[in-house]
Amino acid sequence: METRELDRIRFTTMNFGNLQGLRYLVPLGLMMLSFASWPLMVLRMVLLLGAFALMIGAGRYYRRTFGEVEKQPQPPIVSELSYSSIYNHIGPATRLQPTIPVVPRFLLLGFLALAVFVLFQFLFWPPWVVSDSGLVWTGSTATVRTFFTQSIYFLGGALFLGIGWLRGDSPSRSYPFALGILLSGLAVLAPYSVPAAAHGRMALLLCGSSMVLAGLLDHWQIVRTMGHPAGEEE
Amino acid sequence: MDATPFEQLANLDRLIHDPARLSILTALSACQRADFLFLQRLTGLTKGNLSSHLSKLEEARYIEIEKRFVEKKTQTLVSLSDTGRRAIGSYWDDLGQLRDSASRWQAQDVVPALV
Repeated sequence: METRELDRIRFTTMNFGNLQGLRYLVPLGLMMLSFASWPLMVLRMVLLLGAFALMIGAGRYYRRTFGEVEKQPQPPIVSELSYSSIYNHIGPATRLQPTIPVVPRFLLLGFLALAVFVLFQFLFWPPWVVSDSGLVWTGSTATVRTFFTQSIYFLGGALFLGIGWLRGDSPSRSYPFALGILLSGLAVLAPYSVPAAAHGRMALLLCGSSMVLAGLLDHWQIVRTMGHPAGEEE
Repeated sequence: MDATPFEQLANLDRLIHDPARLSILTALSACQRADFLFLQRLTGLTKGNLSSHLSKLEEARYIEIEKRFVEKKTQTLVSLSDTGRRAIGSYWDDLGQLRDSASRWQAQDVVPALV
């Protein structure tokens, strides 16, 4: 048996809940796409209803098709003996590693992302100028819209980076990390380097599409690892 | 004198070394407990084969099995016992040592007359 296969078994078991893409990320993405399609009411309703139907139906589908797993309880903010990868050498690489619970982890990441965003914004593109009479606000409605667009990208980016962090997968092979970096990059660069992406609706469209894509990839990971049909006796 | 890689190989826990049981224990070591269907999908084993492997692991007290009723159906939940957790940890340690000693091992250590 290949160690890579065992690693995949372990990863899928540990993350079985949050890899259920049809249950979480795809509906969330469809909701964002429905907000992006606000002038088309029918499309919007279809996307919203589809998202809710998927959210409800997918849970039952995963339970009946792939079974159930109870996660290992996470101790509160203390160090724990964790297996970052049991195949670092050939055996278990047990080591002490700080563990932060899920919600504080997302909050911490969101706060860091916001801090970097504000820093970049004010350092390089401040909405004011310094004159003899002091600081003069030069912002406009367009500035506010741009800020709103950048916030959407940043929230999307922080969500994906948080998911990647939560799963503990290697950044080099993790698509949530890739999408997180892409969206965070767009948050900073879109208004100045990619004008086509610097619209609120385009931000919703790109974030929503990324979520649908990531959800489908998550689902594919489960199917790939657990694609064996429940075998019957010959 | 240290054991040769061959002796270490012979001393590996045979119960865990089987690919199907290794998959089961790897999955169980990554969660609190899992149900029968999950393990079946993960390993691709038939119900009979999986039951047989689980029985062997239960006999060795590596796993604990609990049955409950959900929606009028029996659900079998499997979890790793403390003994099982220690056994799989020890198995990986043994395998690591085996790899180290195999990389150091030379034929003349055992059969000097042939070299």
